[in-house]
Amino acid sequence: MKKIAACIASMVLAASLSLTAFAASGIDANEQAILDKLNTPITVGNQMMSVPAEYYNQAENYLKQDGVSVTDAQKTQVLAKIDEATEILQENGTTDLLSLPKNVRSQLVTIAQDAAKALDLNLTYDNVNKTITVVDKEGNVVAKVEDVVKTTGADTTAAVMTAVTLVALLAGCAVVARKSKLAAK
Amino acid sequence: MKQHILRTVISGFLAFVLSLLLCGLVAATCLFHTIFDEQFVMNRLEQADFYEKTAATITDNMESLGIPGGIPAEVFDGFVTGEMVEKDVVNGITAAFEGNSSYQLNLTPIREELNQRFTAYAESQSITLTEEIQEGLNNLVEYCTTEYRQQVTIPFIETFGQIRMMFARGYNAGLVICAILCVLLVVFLFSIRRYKHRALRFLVYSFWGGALMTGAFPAYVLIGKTYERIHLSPEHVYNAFVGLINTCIHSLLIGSVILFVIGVLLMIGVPFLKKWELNRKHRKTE
Amino acid sequence: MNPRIGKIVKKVMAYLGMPLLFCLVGYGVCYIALSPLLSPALSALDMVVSENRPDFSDELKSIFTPPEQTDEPQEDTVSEKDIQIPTYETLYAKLEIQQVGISSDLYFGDSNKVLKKGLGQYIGSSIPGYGKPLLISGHNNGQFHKLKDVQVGDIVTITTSYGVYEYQVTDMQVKSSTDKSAYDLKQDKEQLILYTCYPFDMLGLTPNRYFVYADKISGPSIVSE
Repeated sequence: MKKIAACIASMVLAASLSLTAFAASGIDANEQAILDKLNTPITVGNQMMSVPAEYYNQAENYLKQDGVSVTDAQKTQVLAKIDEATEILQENGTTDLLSLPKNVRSQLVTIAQDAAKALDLNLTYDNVNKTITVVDKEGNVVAKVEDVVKTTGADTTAAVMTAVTLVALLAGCAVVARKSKLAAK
Repeated sequence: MKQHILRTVISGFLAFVLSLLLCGLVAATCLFHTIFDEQFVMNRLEQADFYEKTAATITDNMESLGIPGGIPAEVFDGFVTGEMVEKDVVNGITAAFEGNSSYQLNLTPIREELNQRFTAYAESQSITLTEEIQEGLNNLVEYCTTEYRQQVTIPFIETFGQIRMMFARGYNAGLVICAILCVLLVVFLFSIRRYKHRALRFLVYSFWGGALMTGAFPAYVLIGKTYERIHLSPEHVYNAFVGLINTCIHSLLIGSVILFVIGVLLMIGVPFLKKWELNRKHRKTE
Repeated sequence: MNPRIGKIVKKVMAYLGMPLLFCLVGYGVCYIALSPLLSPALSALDMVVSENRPDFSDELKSIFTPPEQTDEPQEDTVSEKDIQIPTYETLYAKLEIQQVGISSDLYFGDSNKVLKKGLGQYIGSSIPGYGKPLLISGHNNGQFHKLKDVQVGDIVTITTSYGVYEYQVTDMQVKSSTDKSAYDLKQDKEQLILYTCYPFDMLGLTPNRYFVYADKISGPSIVSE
């Protein structure tokens, strides 16, 4: 649940523009609409799930920064992407990322990446900590998929699995696609 | 006239296919002697002082882990060496390049050494190793061991190894087949043209087309410096990776220049061949 | 045009145009042939390539300027436009617990790099003034070594560029790092949660953490205009 939520939260963060932060500008109506959407629980299978507070807060902290605002078009696009991801989760009836088929996981990651790219943010893989990080155009970290409580600095825990799975999955798809082509022949 | 056009179109098509094959030959050769060559990769790592820097990073990170664990930095002095890192990095690269997916790093000596050092430190401080303390030290050993494993494992090396294996399987046979096809195409090109200097012209197009195909994309990447924006850390891993890609790109550009130079030489030969054909024609009519 | 010059121009155009045509068609053919592999490969590549070269410097940014000391009492509110939201790994405040002698720089972000220099705030928590919880960590044999001496009722002071905030300690607990009941980041209360590794002077790492909870007692609330 946490891992899926992280992907969705990443898409939300991708809805923001990436300008250098000066004074806080607060949350405007479009940003609030996105945050409200994130806060709305959805039913997947027989479970109610919502974005964990830590990712919601990261989204909110970023959207509060000055120079970060969301146009109507961007709001519509982001909400559509969230709906798209929600639909996929509901179709598959599970919130456990690792139990989803490879192509479905790939779809979710691609949705998150597309949303991020279109709005000047980038989903990146941190090879040292093996976590996923959202960065802006200047390379500043906007959000991180990581454990809340650390070993006062070191964290080699469940968040790692998500990131490693996601990246290996995307790279592996290229190999799988090739093998399928050869097998089909 | 129609026959002339048809001959030109066929010649153009043959020249195009030849240019594709030349590009493929040169690109595959460059890749296999640079980033797909184990020895080349290891030489580059050694030149970049990769092993020593990795050892320093591991030591630094273990010291950071030791802080909350009550273990001072001195306990880690001299533990991780460049030779030790080199052995494990080289084994990992070799395993990946050979497609050995079952390779596992042997971390037992690391764990044992760490255990010994921590136990020795505890004894030097007259700390009794209760069950709780021993468990805590075991946890620290595991964190440090994981840190070592993460740092000596080249990022994405397994995936890279898989890609390399796929190409390696077809490389030698592919090279021979490409070479034979190139020869056949050249022979066919010359056989369908009555005036051989015109066939030679098409050969020039092939070599220059191959040169452009081989060099245009690497030149674009080199100018845009996309690979320098790769998000790899720590710094020595980033530098090693960028260095490898840089060398690979330069080798492709050199390959492209070689194809271009051959094309230039052929182009210089065109008027000579034309003159020779004209002389031969005159001699025949005489 | 002289027919001879025309012929030369035609040959030169052919020498330039044909290789260019081959190159464009060749790239087109490769793109079509490799497109099923390109898409996932490019997606994977996207996750490791950013817009700028990585920054390996150990320098951490700072937006902290201690507020001017005046005799006038602090305002109850501060406008959102007058504050600066810190970015990751930025020094933005100072944390003090006078009763036990803790005084340290406070950074937004809790990476290794930050914790070597000071206290780190988890970026999934809020900054002082927003009426939401703050989660701050530090090394148990570094800045937070004396956290074990903190008592209920002690005051934690966080000085930011836009105001001084005080929190009164209400509770201390030992919990596992994976115990989600140790913190509630969704609550609508400005609770300060400090934590460090536990036990304090023990060798080795345990999964336990020492949590100190404090509620806000003073400091300007951030209001949007």
